[in-house]
Amino acid sequence: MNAVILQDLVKRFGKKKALDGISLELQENRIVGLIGRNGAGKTTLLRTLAGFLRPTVGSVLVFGQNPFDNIRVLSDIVLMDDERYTDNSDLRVLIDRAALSWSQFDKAMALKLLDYFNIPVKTKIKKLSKGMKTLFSLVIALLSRCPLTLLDEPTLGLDAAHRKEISSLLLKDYVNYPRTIIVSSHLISELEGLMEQVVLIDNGRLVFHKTIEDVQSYALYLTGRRSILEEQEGRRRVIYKESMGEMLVLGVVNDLSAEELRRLESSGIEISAMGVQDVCVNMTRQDEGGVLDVVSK
Amino acid sequence: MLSQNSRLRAMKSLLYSYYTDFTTFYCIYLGIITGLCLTKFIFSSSASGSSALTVGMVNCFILLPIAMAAITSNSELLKKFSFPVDRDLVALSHIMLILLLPLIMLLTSCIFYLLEILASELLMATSDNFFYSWLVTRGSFLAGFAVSYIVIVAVTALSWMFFAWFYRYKVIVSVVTGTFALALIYFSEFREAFLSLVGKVFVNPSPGLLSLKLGTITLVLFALGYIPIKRMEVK
Amino acid sequence: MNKWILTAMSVMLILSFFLIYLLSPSDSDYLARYASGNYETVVSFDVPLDGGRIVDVIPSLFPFHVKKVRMDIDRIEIRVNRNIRGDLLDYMRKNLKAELFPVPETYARFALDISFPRPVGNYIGETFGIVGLFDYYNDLYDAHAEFMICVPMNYELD
Repeated sequence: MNAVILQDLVKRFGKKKALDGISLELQENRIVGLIGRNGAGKTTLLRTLAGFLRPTVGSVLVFGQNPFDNIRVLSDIVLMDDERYTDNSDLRVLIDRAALSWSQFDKAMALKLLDYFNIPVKTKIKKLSKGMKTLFSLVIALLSRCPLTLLDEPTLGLDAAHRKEISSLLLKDYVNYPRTIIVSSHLISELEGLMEQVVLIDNGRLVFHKTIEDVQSYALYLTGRRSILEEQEGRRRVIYKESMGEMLVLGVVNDLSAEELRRLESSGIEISAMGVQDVCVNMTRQDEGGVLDVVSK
Repeated sequence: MLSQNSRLRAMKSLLYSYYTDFTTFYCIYLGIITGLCLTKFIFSSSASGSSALTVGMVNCFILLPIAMAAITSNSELLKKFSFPVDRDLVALSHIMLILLLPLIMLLTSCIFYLLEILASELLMATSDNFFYSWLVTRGSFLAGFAVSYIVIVAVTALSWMFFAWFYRYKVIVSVVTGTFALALIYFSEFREAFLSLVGKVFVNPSPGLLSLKLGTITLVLFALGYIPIKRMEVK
Repeated sequence: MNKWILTAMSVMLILSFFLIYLLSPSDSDYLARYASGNYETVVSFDVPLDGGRIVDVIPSLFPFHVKKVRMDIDRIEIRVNRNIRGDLLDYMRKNLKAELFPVPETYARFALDISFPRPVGNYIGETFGIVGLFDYYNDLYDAHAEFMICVPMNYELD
């Protein structure tokens, strides 16, 4: 069964189109990485899935129902982002509220984890640091064990050690309580080990939706002499290009046959896989070049 | 059944949240009414004037619209939507607050009235130049309580409805309110027509008739306030 | 907040309502308290009874309420209600100072100057102010007065 079905989803804020015709189907019990640049529409998409926003055009179905103002579906969704839990209440009150809201919420575990992370439950959430706040929100979101868990930038403000621990916690909890988790983050490399699927969006449009294995083999770097690679450039879909004197680096979509790869290697071209992060960055690169071009102008 | 269960859980959670929020609000109310009652006895040569019943009622008129401005704001609603809740439940919980808070606050003023009487008895016992009169009659107390309650509910519902629209449609509501206020100030015919309309509600009524009129107005205000909340997006 | 505190508070709130209701008099009992018969004279003045005259009551009797009435008597009297808690009647008998004197250069005017020897405290436990919207309750509360100034029928009160 599909956890999420989006059909031609458009969301406008005034004249600005935050989501522009996204169609997508996400199966149940998968960890999906939602990747995109700043302002690509990730948060808008997550908030639409969480029933906060109403689609301007198109439809959103979560577990077969429209989540907007639908308590039955909303009870199965949790959204964690940096705007959650801004109450002036003690953490204990929020934990109590979580326990009241979700029957499956593991309150004992939540208290244990907060104790482990040295977050006192009698503190007001406003007094927590950014990282602590993120940890608290994550604990609530994960232990709610909602069938659709939406994590928007779940590592914001966390140090490296906490990021690692959160990844392990997420994976462990997911294995014990399988559910659909959509994680949006800029730190793609750290999530690579978790994600089973990747949804890449850019300027509100869906760029691709693939399994992590497909993304890992989606593109290749070809590095070698310009004269050889310039010939390839016309025949391949190039997503990255960098000149270094006589040398050229091309990032191309991997539709090369084994024979073609062998031939390139024999002509001195170095072939390497493009990492998931690079694929995502290159697929959403702006045409006018990088920030250095702006500075040099 | 599952849906009913979800709704019940969400309602419990939401009411718990409002309960914790309004504990602070209630403490503020207690602080104000305590302060006013104390100053009446300590700093004034005479404790005449408004008793705790009227002081409590006036405080309701001031504090509850402020509370309504707070609970209908986008930031407050965003907090409530951190946990599963739908718009019907939000509107319903707001209406419950509008109905319940004035009752609790007015009943609290009754406690303070008794405390004032107790303070008067103590003062009377300790000094020979202090006197007091108990002016409440059974009829006036019941009528006063009921009418105060219904008027406070109506005023609170009006402010709830206003702010529910205001936060969602700031420009339109500001323009309409501004135009209305200017028309009241500058157009005497409009002002008179408006005042005569208000007068139809308040002039020479019996407590029962006034309560009936205000009850009907309150229901209309609830319906009007529900519209923007039902349509709102959580931003 | 603790469940027990919450329950205790709820009980207190409801009890206070019923307590006020039960301790309060009915409207007719209330009116009876302020009937003329419940006022006793503490000071009186002999005055001429011929022609129409006017009495100016110079100070206000703050913090007390005063009723000014004309009645079939032949003196100007200051009366105090005997039902005021704290025995106002006894206190005023001992402490009230009142003086009546003709206003110079007028024939018909008298000034009634009343003062207390030292400040007095008075608490008036009013009901909800909103009942002022109704004529019936306004009339009811107009009956309340700690003092009554009575003049003969041919006198005007100003």
